[in-house]
Amino acid sequence: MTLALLALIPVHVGGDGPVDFGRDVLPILSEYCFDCHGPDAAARKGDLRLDVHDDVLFVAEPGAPEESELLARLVHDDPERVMPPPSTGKAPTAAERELLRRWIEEGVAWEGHWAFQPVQTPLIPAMSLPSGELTGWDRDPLDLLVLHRLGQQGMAPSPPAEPATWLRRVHLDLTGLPPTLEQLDAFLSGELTDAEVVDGLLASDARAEHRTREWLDLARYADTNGYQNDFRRDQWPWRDWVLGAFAANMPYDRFVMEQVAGDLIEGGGRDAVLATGFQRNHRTVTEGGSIDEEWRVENVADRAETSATAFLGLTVGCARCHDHRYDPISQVDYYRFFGFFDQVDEKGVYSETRGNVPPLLRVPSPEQEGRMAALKARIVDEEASLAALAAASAERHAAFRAANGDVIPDLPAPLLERRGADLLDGTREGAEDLGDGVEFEQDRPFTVTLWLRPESHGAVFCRMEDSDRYRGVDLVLLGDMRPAVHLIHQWTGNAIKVVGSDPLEKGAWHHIAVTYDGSRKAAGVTVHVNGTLASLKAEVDRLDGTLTTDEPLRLGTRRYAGDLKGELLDFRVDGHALGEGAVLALARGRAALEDGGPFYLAVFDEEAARARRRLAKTRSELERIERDEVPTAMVLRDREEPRETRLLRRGQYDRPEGEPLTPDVPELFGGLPDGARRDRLGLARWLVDPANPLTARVAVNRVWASFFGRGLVATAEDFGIRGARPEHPALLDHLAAELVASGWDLRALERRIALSATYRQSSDASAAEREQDPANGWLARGPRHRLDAEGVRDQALLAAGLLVHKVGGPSVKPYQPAGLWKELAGGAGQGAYLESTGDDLFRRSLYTYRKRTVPHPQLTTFDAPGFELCTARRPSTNTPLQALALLNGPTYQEASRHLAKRMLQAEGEEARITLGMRAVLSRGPTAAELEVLKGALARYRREFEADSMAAVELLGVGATAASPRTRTPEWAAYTMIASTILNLDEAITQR
Amino acid sequence: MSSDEQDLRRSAALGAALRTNRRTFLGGGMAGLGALALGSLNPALGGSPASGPKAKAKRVIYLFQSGAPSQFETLDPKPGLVDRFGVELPESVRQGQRLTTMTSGQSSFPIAPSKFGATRRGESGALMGDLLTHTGAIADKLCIVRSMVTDAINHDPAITFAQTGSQLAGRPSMGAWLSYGLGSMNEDLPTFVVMVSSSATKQPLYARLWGSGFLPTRHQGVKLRSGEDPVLYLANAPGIDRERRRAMLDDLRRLNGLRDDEDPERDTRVEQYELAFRMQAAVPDLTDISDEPESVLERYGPDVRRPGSFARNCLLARRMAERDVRFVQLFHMGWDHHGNLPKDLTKCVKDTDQPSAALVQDLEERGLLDDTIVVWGGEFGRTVYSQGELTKENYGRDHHPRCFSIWLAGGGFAPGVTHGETCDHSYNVVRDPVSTHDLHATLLHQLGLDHERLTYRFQGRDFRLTDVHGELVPGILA
Repeated sequence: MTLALLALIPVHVGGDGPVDFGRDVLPILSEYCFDCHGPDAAARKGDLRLDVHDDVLFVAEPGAPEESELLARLVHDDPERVMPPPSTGKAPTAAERELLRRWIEEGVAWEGHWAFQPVQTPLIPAMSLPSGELTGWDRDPLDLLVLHRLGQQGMAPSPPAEPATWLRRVHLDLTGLPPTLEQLDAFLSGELTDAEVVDGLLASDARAEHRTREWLDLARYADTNGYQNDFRRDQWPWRDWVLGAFAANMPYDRFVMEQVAGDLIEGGGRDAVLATGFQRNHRTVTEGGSIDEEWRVENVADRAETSATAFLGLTVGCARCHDHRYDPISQVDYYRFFGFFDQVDEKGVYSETRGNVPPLLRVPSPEQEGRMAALKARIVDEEASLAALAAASAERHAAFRAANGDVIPDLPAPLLERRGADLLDGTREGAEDLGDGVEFEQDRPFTVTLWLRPESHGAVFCRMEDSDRYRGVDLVLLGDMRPAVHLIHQWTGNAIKVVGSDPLEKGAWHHIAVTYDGSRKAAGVTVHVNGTLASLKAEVDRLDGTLTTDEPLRLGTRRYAGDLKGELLDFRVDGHALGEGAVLALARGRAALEDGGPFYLAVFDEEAARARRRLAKTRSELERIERDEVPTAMVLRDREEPRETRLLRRGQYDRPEGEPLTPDVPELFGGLPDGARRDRLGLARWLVDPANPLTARVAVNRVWASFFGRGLVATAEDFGIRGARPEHPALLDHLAAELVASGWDLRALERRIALSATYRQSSDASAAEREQDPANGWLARGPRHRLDAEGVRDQALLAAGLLVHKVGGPSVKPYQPAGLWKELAGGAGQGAYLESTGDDLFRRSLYTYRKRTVPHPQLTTFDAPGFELCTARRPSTNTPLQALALLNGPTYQEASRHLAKRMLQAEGEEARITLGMRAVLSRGPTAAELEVLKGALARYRREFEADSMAAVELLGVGATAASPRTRTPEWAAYTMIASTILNLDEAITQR
Repeated sequence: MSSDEQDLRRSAALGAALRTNRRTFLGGGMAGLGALALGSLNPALGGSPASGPKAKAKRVIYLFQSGAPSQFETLDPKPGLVDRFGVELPESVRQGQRLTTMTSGQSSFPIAPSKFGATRRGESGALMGDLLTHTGAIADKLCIVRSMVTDAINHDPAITFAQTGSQLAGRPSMGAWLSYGLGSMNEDLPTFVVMVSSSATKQPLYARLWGSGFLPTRHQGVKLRSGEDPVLYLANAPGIDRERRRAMLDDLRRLNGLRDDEDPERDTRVEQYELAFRMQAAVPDLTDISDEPESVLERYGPDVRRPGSFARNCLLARRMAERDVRFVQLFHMGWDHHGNLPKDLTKCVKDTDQPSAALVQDLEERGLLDDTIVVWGGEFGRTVYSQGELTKENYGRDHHPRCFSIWLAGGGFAPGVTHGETCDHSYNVVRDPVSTHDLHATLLHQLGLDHERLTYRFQGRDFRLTDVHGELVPGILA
């Protein structure tokens, strides 16, 4: 049903007006000609391009179609000359040829592609509308623009939807949830105006959650890394940043800038850096054996292409391998744009690495920050007391010297003794080479003693080969500062490795002795730290083969172990395994020297030892919180040394060619302005420059689609030449201009749309009307679309009273059929799916754990993307698998039971059925519906009374199942009714 | 045009094409239908475009051997290498081609001949590894391609490439393309079914391998699981029997029909609920093998009695072929033999050899092989040199994309033909290379689809399964 056409609106039905180049001609040229005569230089034939006016004039004579080669070629008799060549299987229709003919006749008008032209501020049609049917259409220019365009099409708007229909619609589109019964009643009783409803929803967490859900598709956000073993990652702190940005109505220009270059914005703070997690949501390779550069390039390409689609509505991916076929984006343009994202300090392959991969940002919660600050303060105090103890230690040292001054350990001559200190600067060059005088062998005992003040982890000493078999002996400090000793014939099959349980303390002196008894057993290795035997764990224990190597004995370096930074003193090798007493005696000898104060303090001073232990404990608690508790997010950080970006031939990582390319935006936009920074910050500023023709249009289009299920440009991902043209170009430009003028206020834009007359229209239509405009591109009726995957579940939970409103935090794992992960991953990666418990079973689906290689069936069944790539638009399909999930899935069974419970609280059948329907549909039943449902209720009641076991089973689904005694046939009957309501087409449709 | 609009229009166009003269339709209605899959106007749906190939096959059963089987022990034996045991692989063979970083650091690349013998099988005399007892016995029914080459060198991109024609995520899988291009042939089962062998291996697979990419989601593969609920949520919820479900669906149909406006989407929804109801009967009927005679079970081998085994899945694939499921995709994991190859590969052969051969014979005896294509193969080949230590008894092989072997049977593929040849080290192809794109093009051709015309417009570009590549391989066709 539509309103009568208004006489005062100028009627213009397309067809006989002048040819519009952009609307009529460009699509024909791009469809039939651009493959060989378009922007792609490599594919171009006959040096003719039909995407350039000058070239076109060469083959099209203005005003003289009969003299134009362009037309002649379309119908040429010679198969060698007819265009497009028959082999393409393409041929323009007679109607298309006629359009081209008229276009040439009318003068070969030319204009650039609409989306690349500056945003116009359109004139708002002045119309005086009769009261009555068009009440409300003159309040907002938005509606006038729609009305005007409808008039041109000979179409008329639909009457407004019922208030309750509008309310459910606006709730679903703004928040992804239907109104609760309380909200419905408050609205219908006139307690709230429409504007108050909308303002309340705009300020709600639910709205921030719904908008975040939409943004995550573009951001290809997920909880796993996506390749092969598909390990877990923790990127939810970034997702929570998005939630916060929407909740605070962050201006869209800042929202864009921070996600592109938050790390480069001066004074942007931690949150701005966190925002760049957007650029790290791409998948990351951990498959062993993969080639690093191949996948690093893939990361960069993903960032470039995602940014182009999300912010500019452009698909630049084609130009990765060759010039774009249809849009004026060359391969050089692509790699200049790619260059912005090529500077990240990252690897392409993090072999078999679980969890987040760098660059990382620590994002402690406020509570964690408080605890860490307290610990840091304590560390300062404890360091001060230790320093005080040290400062006042001269007397105690003197006493120690007096008692031990003449203790000279009576030991056989060492194999090597190096008196004095070596400063290790953490580089291979700074390491010491002690020659090949000392030979380590599998059956020969030895002891190595030394003093060490480490500043970093790394190798302490080694005599070891650089090859993969690592033959030789070493002592290294692992990344966590625990000492480890290797005796290796062939790594890993023939070797000993022992690791100490306690880390060494950075910056403190330690006396260390490593002894080996020649037994070829891990048990024959000891490590003394400060005179005490360290507790060791044998990680490898199968040595049988020589340890000798031509490599010299080195201090402070070893291949892959890292180069040690710090101070090393009195390196000594003995040819037998020293006992505890001898080791201690060596340490005591040094401490008893006149300058032995620091060594005395490190090993023999009880008070200092106590203070040090206290400090170590505090430090390790702080480290534990930082390491194990504080979440990280993957963010951007550029390399210090700029990387040169070159064009990659056919997009292949190993085929760079030509000169280095300076980062820039595609030439069709005229490049970055002079003096602009050639980095992501420069790009970000250009993106949000009001003169940018795409950013605001693309943003408006996305917001529009949130309400209408379809953008003003139907191809949200492609504003290029092959993308759909907007049916309402003036409206798009008007809203884009207003968005910029409002300071990029998204909430204001949503408010206008939600309160518009266009949006308020009824979505009912006749078959003829639907056939005329199946996708509702002309907006002669209100929106109608299936709820998204998340909404289908969230609505059921809300209607059931099960939904838990808790914003943010790590993703959760609601019900999922057993075995799905294991079947595919075979236990690799993460093992089995462990369902959440308690509240986390009932959080909004935004928080459902997203495992890329095995997406949750609720999401895939209802058309959510796989989160592998940037997705600008979800399809909406209608499949038997959806029916099965809604009918039989435990989520919906459990929700039906709870909804039934709510229904039973009302008095009488009709009231109960009405409550159930209103909770889901925001309306009560019609008489006919009531009759069907009452009949069904009677039937179910009969059946379940006759078969009470079936009732018990039906009511036993899910974590919240009640005790079997309470599961009555009546409850079961209503559960079936609730399930019937949840399965109605209307239930999962925004209408 | 959104993907759904595109798909909707396509369905409408197909309907129109059936009703009207095709030429009129193409002449008059193509303006807005650039993305229409021209090839889809053929066989099963009536009409045969002059430019499209004639369909030889209606269905595909793809037995994917995930992890990449070694060609040396299976379809491309090189007995001559026995004399070169442990000899360093000449640089002239490697030609500096890239290696995975698992072996690129190896200081030596010793030649590892197959530990197992090889024999010429059947009248065609194809040389096959002796481990393949059963497959060898049907050598004359097989078309062996020894000259497959691929681009990727690691599993994830290589399997994705084999299934979707692109190493990167986001493209539709082959089965999804066929569902889109050819539609369904049956009324109560999915068009595209996937079965994964249950096994203890830790080599993962990914849902994208049977995903629909940018095609509408309805074209994605339905994974059939072993166990009580072969399709997710297929079984009625507890307390609901088939009769009760039927009554509820009748209520739903009535209630959905009470709305006072016209909405085709709502009508479709009602139809989908009916299809779901039919599937609830059809799928258990499909997976219940109690009607199979003992002789058939024996042919597939003892494993067939274990649900989820490759053998059981092969039997189910035959039952699906009988029910006209368009594309059946099996995955068997475990072929990634970097070390302990002799022992572990023997195990994989034991799992797959007999059932694969049984499937081909079974299809043939039922007259289904003529129009069903069976494909057996993995994502790449393996190296001639040993990864890790080489002994007479034990060795491993790294990934090798430069050549690998597969076999095809039925559907108009040439039986008893061995196509292509690799060098003495099975390192490089020396004759008739066949790329993954070529294989895809040829498979589509046999199904009556021109791979250059089966397109879908997404992001302004007309995408194909074969990207911008792919040549028909006439040499493997009968």
